[in-house]
Amino acid sequence: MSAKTKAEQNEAVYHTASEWFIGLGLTIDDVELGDVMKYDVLRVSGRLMEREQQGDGQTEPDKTR
Amino acid sequence: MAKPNQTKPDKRVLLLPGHPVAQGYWRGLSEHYDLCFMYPQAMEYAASISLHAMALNQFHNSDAQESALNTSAQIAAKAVQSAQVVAGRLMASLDGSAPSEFNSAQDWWPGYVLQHAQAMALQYAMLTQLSNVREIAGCVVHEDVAPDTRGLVLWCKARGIPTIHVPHAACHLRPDGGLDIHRESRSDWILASGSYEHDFYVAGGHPADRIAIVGSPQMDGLYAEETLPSRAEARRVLDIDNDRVICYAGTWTQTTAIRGRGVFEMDEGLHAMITLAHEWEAVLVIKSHPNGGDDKVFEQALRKTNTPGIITKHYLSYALRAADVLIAQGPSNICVEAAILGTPSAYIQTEGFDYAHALPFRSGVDRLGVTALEAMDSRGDPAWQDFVTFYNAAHPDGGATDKVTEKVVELCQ
Repeated sequence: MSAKTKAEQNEAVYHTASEWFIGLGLTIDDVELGDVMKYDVLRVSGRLMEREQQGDGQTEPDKTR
Repeated sequence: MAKPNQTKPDKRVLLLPGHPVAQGYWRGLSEHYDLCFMYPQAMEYAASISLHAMALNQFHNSDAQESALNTSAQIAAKAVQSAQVVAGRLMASLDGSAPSEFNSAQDWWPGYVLQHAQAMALQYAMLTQLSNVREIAGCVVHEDVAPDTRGLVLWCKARGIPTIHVPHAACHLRPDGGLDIHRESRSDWILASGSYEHDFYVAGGHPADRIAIVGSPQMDGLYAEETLPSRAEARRVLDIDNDRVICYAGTWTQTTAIRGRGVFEMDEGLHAMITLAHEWEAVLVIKSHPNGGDDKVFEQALRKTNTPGIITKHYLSYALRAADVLIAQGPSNICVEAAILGTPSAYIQTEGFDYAHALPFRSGVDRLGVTALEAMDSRGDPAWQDFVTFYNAAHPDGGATDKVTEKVVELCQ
């Protein structure tokens, strides 16, 4: 079981998706690919984290419509 | 495939994703600009309502294709090198709780990046082809978090083209709800629906002087009373012959953050609603989320429990007008729509999210019966008007669509 709380895990994944692509040279037409991919990286990471810990559940019901 | 229009156009081009949630302001904007949609099916839909528009894929040619393939191949090569770096950083920060897939990131990460790079490079190559023959006045997006819309906004920003975000829905993340991509906007300007949305994006770091409040254009249709059903008509059309009607608004999973209990919460909520419907001897109208959710699950649950009910993704005004009370799974914007139509609401709370107003009523599933009753008894309370105005400044008349058009024209001079 993780030593990190869910909030801490969320923060770690978020920073990965937010910042850690920067400087890797993944840019197209002066746009950071990491920033464009961020939403999808969060989705994939969140899904993998949840599956790792809770079987096949899914996180975060959406609160916008 | 149609050819791009290169015959002395008299209007500049406005870029839009083409999501139907934004269709309300397409016509007004088309009087000032030639609209170009990122989603090709939007052009066909626009044509069906007599709107002339272009689609970005009309600018897909062999030059764009070759440019995109070359660019994405170079990015994939860099991704091979970066795979271990990114995965290593994530595993280190997660203290051993990282998903096992990150141990073998070099096996799948480059392919994952390549897929995104190809889509992004092709989008940019087509935008470049478009910009070679037409002047782009600006872009207006309904959200700028997903890859295609964020990619569009960032490409425009890198070229000094004005970018405007008209949020398609308010996000009800609490201030203490943790980091979340929905707090961010990359666009130069935000046209907010009301004070709540203004404050939400300011708290997220967007400059206050770059946010204008215009109201909620996607809710304008709820003010056209002559086109809306009365409660009696709604019940007649839905074939409901019962004194008590509850509308239950479903939700969907997004997985961009690690919080809440996801599908387990939804199952609990549905079970509580079915229990309540039986206690009240009510008909349960399940208005499922337009973006997803599994209607089969709803259907099986109603059949298994012999619960009288209806399931629909559509007919919003009928479902809400027919109901004595709305119960939403989480603080959905359907509560604002219900209040505009005069139907009181409550919602089942979830981690990290809440309305920032005393209304709607709220609780967990454990005391849902009491909460639902309090909500139902509040019908007609003037406080609901204050609630709607907080989230939709165009209340009580509507007309946000015209304000969006005026503001876009002003900002895209």
